[in-house]
Amino acid sequence: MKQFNNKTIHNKGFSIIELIVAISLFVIVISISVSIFLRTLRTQKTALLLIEANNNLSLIIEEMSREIRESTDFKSTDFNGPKDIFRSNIEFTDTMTGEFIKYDFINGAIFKTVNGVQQQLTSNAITITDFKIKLIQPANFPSRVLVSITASPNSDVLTNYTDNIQTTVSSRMISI
Amino acid sequence: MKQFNNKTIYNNGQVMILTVVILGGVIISTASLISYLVINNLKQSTDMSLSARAVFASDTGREWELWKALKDGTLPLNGSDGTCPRFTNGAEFTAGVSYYDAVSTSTLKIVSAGKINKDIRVWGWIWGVSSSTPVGYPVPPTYIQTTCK
Repeated sequence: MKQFNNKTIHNKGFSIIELIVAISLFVIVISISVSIFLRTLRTQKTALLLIEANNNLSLIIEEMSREIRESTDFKSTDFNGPKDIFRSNIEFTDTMTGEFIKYDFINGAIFKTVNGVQQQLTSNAITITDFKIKLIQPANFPSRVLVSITASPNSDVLTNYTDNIQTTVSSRMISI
Repeated sequence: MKQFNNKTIYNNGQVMILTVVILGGVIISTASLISYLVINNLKQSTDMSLSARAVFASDTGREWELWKALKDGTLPLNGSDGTCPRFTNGAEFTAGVSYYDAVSTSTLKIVSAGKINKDIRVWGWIWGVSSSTPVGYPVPPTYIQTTCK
């Protein structure tokens, strides 16, 4: 220790062993913390991807359901077999707005065409892996439409994750 | 430093190491807490996906009961006509229909519960039957339920 202006200054340092031990411990702690933090960021990204995929599916299926309920003249242009097979597109006429509406599954996305104007409904952050439509049209009874959409996020984080939502909607337009 | 049994013990290093350990403990605890919160967030996101499936399954049940009611007016059908909606995503629904009350035969009460794993979402619906709809539904003695999956 030194005397300086009548004050005692303790300037004894640490030994090299103490420094090495302390620095090693600190590096280990920081490494663990950074690892946890990076994993957390990855998990957060995964959660956001899941939410986005789910939101896309929910919004599309809700929009389709609402329009199907108030529409008539359901048909599909890819109909090439038994009446109850699954199809990949559907078109109908909205009786409330008079619009001719069509939903198509093209290159991993769902497109909606209203009176000839086409727009993509799904976000580019997800890929639609499956889009199934089944028309159930008993004579003299309201049409029913089964809609099944499967999507997966476009991400390296979630390579094998797919989300699927299904519903069956009946038209309110009854011709009895 | 301390004197102990005529030996000089330097404990500055121990204090430093102790400080590092405590600081490390605080840092790791904070990181673990954040991680736990985010994992909870992920769990909620997964639950949200199941919830959406259950909601739309419930909606399907509601539509199914309404369609049967409008189809031929012979309430309640028991789903044995082979057109009961099926799901390939693990969801199912249990739906029931009756008149809204014992007096009025113009209003239907439909309740549908969509279910997947432990997630259950329920829709209740009161449907006023218009004059153009076939009348003469038999009043179900009890709340008749249909389960489709």
